[in-house]
Amino acid sequence: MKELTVEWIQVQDKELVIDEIMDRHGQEILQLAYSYVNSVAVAEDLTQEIFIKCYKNLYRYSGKSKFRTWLWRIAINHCKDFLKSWYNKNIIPTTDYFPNHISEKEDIEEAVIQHEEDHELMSAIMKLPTKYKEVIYLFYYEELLIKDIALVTKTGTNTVKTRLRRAKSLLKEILEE
Amino acid sequence: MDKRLKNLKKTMNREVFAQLKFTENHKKSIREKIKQETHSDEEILIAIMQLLLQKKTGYQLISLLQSRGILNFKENEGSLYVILHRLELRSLLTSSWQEDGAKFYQLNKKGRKLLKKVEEQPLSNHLSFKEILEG
Repeated sequence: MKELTVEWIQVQDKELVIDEIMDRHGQEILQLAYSYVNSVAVAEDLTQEIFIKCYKNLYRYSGKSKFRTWLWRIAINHCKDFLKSWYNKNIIPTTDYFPNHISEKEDIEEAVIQHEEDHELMSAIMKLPTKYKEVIYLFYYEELLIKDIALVTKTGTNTVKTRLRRAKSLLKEILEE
Repeated sequence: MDKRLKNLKKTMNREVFAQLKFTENHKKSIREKIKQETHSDEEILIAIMQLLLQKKTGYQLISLLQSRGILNFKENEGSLYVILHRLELRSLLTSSWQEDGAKFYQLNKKGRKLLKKVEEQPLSNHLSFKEILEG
């Protein structure tokens, strides 16, 4: 899938542009938001706000970075602002990761064990502080390169590497408890 | 640990994201929200000019625009002053300082004439109108 170019974005009708952007990036932005807030309802609200922000700021996109990088920066900032907000700290109860129930068809012992391990890993990740959770998500789920993670989180590659290392040892600690 | 994390994509897709879908409904409600929240540049400029038929401060202007549903300047007052400045540069409005230090803006004759023209033919391509929008 080719990246949206700044020329295309600026020439086309804005409504058409935002539609195309949502088609391309809606799902990943929703998932990204979820990875920060661990709640479907909040992730949906944030996604809506992110795309509105994107729409309003389209004219600022200069083509210096890839469009996806630009959009992700908006999204990540927005999620982090939400996490820091008074609203989040006081109104929204912290929603924990509740794993799906293991389907009955699969109650072969081995599958059950595998599932349980997955659940453990997922809830351990969700417990991590944001800066560690985000590098784990971006690196292992989105499979971004270290340098791209540095770009979207506005840090340096060394910071990303350190955080990844630290995140993994934190996960180990949580899982061994 | 690395091995378990390597499976994260599969695990998350199955465990977490299976019920998380960006749907046509999401798109629709975003589109509607955008429509509510944004107004075309022309609409905004016309609203500003209409409000400036009587003299007003920038602050008054922002709150009056807000009550018309134009929220663009709420956290971004600077961009209103940019527009006011452009209008002034093109001699479409005059500004005056009050004794208490407040600055008032008001359309002059040329401004009123332009407003009348664009009100009769909205979204028209009047050159001077475009220039104000594009700076």
